[in-house]
Amino acid sequence: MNNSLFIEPNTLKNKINKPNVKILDATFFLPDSGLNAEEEYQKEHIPNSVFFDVNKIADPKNPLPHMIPSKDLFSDMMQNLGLNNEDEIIIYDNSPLLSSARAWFLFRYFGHKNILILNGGLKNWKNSEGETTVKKTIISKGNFVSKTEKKDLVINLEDMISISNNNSKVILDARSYKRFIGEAKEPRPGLQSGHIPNSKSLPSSALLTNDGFLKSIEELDKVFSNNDIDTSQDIIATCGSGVSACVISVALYCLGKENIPIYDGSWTEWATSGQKIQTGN
Amino acid sequence: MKNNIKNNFIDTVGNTPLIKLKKASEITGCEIYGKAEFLNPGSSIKDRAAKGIVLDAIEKKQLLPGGIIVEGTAGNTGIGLGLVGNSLGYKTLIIMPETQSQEKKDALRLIGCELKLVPALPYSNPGNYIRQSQQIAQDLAKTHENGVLWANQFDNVANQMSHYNSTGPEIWEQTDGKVDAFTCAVGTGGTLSGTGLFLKEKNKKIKIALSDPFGSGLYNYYQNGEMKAEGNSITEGIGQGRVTKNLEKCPLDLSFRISDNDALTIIFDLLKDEGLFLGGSSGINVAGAMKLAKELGPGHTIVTILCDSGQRYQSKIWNPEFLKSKDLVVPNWL
Repeated sequence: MNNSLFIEPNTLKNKINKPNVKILDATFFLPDSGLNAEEEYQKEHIPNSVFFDVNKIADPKNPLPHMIPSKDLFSDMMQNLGLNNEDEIIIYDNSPLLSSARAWFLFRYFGHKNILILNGGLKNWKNSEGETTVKKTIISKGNFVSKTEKKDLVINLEDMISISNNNSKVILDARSYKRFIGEAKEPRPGLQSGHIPNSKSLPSSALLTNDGFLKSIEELDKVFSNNDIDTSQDIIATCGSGVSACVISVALYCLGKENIPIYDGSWTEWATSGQKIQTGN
Repeated sequence: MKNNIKNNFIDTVGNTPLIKLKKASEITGCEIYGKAEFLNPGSSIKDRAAKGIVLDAIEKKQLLPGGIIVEGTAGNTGIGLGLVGNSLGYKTLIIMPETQSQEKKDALRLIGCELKLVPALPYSNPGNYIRQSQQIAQDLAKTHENGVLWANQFDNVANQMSHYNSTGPEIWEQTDGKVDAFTCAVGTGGTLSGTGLFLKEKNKKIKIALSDPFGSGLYNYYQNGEMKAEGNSITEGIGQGRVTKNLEKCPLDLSFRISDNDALTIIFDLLKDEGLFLGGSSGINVAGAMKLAKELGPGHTIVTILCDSGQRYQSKIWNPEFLKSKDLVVPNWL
């Protein structure tokens, strides 16, 4: 497993009380789940972790779900979570990697380097006899300031239309295959299913093991080649709202492609802005 | 080391004895020990933080030979930093509110610290002495290539680590691992967090408790989540109105609030009956240790901190006129 990306539960156990180690619970649920991520966090979390709200750590002016916020707003929000520039940040969630990948992606976008994902998330933590608590985490306002915005990691609608029309880059869609072909409903009410013309289906589940771990490098390689994806080409990851697309970005990071951008507006923006929609495969 | 010879000032910091507090132990049926931090070379527990902060900065190459140490402090930390600076060859600049006692200004000057006096303003004002010290350190850093260390004792976690690495292990060894509980007051939070985290790591069952003076917001904060101060206290260097970085991961189990009269009564008795001449914060700590003992019941081993010597407070807690003016108890022999 890629050591610069994941931390094992047993390593984290020795770090949870260290100053300058900050643990973020990035648990997130799709709107149709009926679950509230913050409530789940309050019921059970890793000691000293703070709740990283994927829905709220976003641009409040954009009506699309959780679009990347401005640099200043992100810095401000991270300070309120107690984060400092010198902190080692460790992210976990209770899904198979999805929202941790999103949080990881945000920190990369804003130029923070010292960031790890808990391998296997909360489930693996508990399976490894990691402690959890309901205790409120006490934080002191941090000094986190984002120094850069890596704008080339995010594709906007205009670019996406041109890329789709010209079939100029490989577009990988991390939603389920059934949503991709238009057979299954979208979890967001009123949203048509289907896909961006000239995009390819690569469900995030194909990149994960049944236990919610990212597959090994060898297995990931196989997934891409079995799906006829040439990883040496320019790739863009998309999904329903820009969360599971980050799993594609993480998987390719592990294969040495460190800067795979996502289409942040994703299917929600595409399908609600009157773009061409394809169904079937 | 053979014959207990130390190489320098730095090596003399810490390794203080535990002193059994006779009366406190008898009353509660517990063994209550005070860690004799007033025996540090700079006469207070702050020598540990000063040493830890400066050595950390040297290790991180923030401070090179000829560099300057800057801190906004009104008391023991300034003395500790000045002495550590002298022993390692760094100049020390202390920013202090002009309202502080002449004794303290004199103490820092005679050590050789450069003193800058500024108007007393709240933390929310950029002219506040702590915030000014940060600004001054940043400005000096532009022209001093040997490095300027803003010690930043409240939010620099090297403070907490100095206790995690020394105070905690010493207490663990001195009690042969029998310590059941530890308590002290919080100023920066470094002692309680660092010692507490180390002891919890050794044995999760060890209770860590806050002894908070009136005038501090922490007791309410840990009891009901509201950072709200009530009353006031003549003790110095303890009490806090915000969560400092050193306090962040403090593994707290219990909180007590201690009145000045309770603390002073203990301080006076400790001098008269046990020969220990201490400052006000030690009184808060011992009173807290006794409350903790009552909470846990007889038979427990409880450790607290004897922060500094009474000599630094002759004009205040050892001055009957001052005490009377505040409606506080007075030593019956003065």
